[in-house]
Amino acid sequence: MVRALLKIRLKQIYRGIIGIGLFRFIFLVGLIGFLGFALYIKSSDKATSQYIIAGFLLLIMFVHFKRGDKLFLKSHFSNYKTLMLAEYIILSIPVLCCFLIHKQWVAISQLTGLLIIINIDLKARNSNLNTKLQELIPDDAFEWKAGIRKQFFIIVPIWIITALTSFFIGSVPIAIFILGIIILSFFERCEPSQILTSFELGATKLLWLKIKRLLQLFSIIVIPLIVLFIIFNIDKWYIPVAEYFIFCSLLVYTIMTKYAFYEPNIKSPAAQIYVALGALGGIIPVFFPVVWLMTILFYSKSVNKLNFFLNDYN
Amino acid sequence: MIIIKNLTISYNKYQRVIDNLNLSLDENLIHGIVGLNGAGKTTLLNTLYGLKKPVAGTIQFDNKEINKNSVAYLVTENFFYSSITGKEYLSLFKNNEFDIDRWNKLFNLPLNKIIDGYSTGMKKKLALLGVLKQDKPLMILDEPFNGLDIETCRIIRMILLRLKERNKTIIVTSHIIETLTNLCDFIHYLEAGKIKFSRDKSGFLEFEREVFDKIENENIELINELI
Repeated sequence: MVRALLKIRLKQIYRGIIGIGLFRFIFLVGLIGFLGFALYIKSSDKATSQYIIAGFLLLIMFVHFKRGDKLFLKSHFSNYKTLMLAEYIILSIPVLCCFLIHKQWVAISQLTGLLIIINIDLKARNSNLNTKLQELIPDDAFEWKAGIRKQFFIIVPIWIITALTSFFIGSVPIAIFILGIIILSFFERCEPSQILTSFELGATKLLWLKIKRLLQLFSIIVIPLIVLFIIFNIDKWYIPVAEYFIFCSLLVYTIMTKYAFYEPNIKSPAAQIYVALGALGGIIPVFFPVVWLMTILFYSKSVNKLNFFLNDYN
Repeated sequence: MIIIKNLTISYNKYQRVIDNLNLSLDENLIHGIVGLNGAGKTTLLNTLYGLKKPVAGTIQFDNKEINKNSVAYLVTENFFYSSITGKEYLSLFKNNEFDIDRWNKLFNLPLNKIIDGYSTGMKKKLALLGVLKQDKPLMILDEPFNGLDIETCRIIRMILLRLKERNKTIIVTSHIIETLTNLCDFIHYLEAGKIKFSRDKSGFLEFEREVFDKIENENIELINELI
């Protein structure tokens, strides 16, 4: 039974690789290779190996909570916990090998934490939170309504704490960074075609509406924090302002990427990889012109892609 | 009138899902499209709405090429955007005259709750409300009765009949023939990518018998062998 399921998983991985394309697969292999090399080097240190094992177990726990096949496994296999354990053990092989090479016995013993993880059976509850914030967001900005609802208890405390501590030089820049990353995640999933066509707008008009809403709503969240920062740290005014413009560019790039690879109801792996690369461009300023260039390229790709669905509204 | 001429649809060059299909559908009537699983019903409807490009052929509505501006489409799968409420979903469609709360008295949906927690039937009702809100002259409904209880099925039937009186043209598919014979003015039988025959109300009984006989004749021998 375990073998049959693992065979299915291998087929799923193979189809996933075919789906993301050769170029992105090579990039992914390079990234995994780099991470593997870093893991090998860092796991030689006893203290660092503790952080590695904690991070790894957290990652597995995240995967365990998020996986959508638990009901399928429970209803089809009596030994579903063994199946999940087998999968997690396979995932931990690279970590285990590094620890074995460096004789990190304590860290290896902590991998037994996997036994606890497979016994945790928590379900993510849907938040039905309706606040004044959702009412204030325009009807067409459904990604924002959904995103604010999902992340309300992260966004609001961060915003309030940042406003109260804006006299600290690091407070506002860190908050803009965190809020920016959270808002990037609002645009991960493509909407169904009936939502796309509901606007009854042509491709160009729809894209500009999305950009307008994005800049409006992001500015409403971030500009008050920037003003507070400037009041207390006027000599460093350019830090949050530069960060604001970087994130505006990144968010516009994210929207272009989403629609350039638009397929109804999916999270496009290609779009996710490009957004991750764009986010790296935000951290390493040398790459930032590439983000602008890609935004222009993806704009025309988005128009072409959306025209298939929206050409009747042009 | 909807005129479909020489329509060919294919997902690859070897297999045609719809093969040189010709069909004329009169306006202000309810047309049912019936076919077994895989007959090409959803592909045909996706193409009518413009979600699938045909390899060849034309589709005209009102003497013009069919256009999304005049069509509302209920897709068969209940896909919605995660973490938005029913009310937020309906607010995406333009039509200020549509009184959501009054219409919802027919369906009793918890419109202020997020859609992720809705049952299959509730999602179908919400999607239908979205289609009704669009108020387009042509409504294409792919399996609108799937997952719905008897009461809602009857309510939808009443709504569709009333909409026909208000000069709407409705195309509807269902795998339950009875739901269509109770509702439609014409039923068109789709088989292997072609409309095999069309019947008006006077021929529905004969149509039912023909379809059921065909299915039984095709399978009786194998069933006899198995059981």
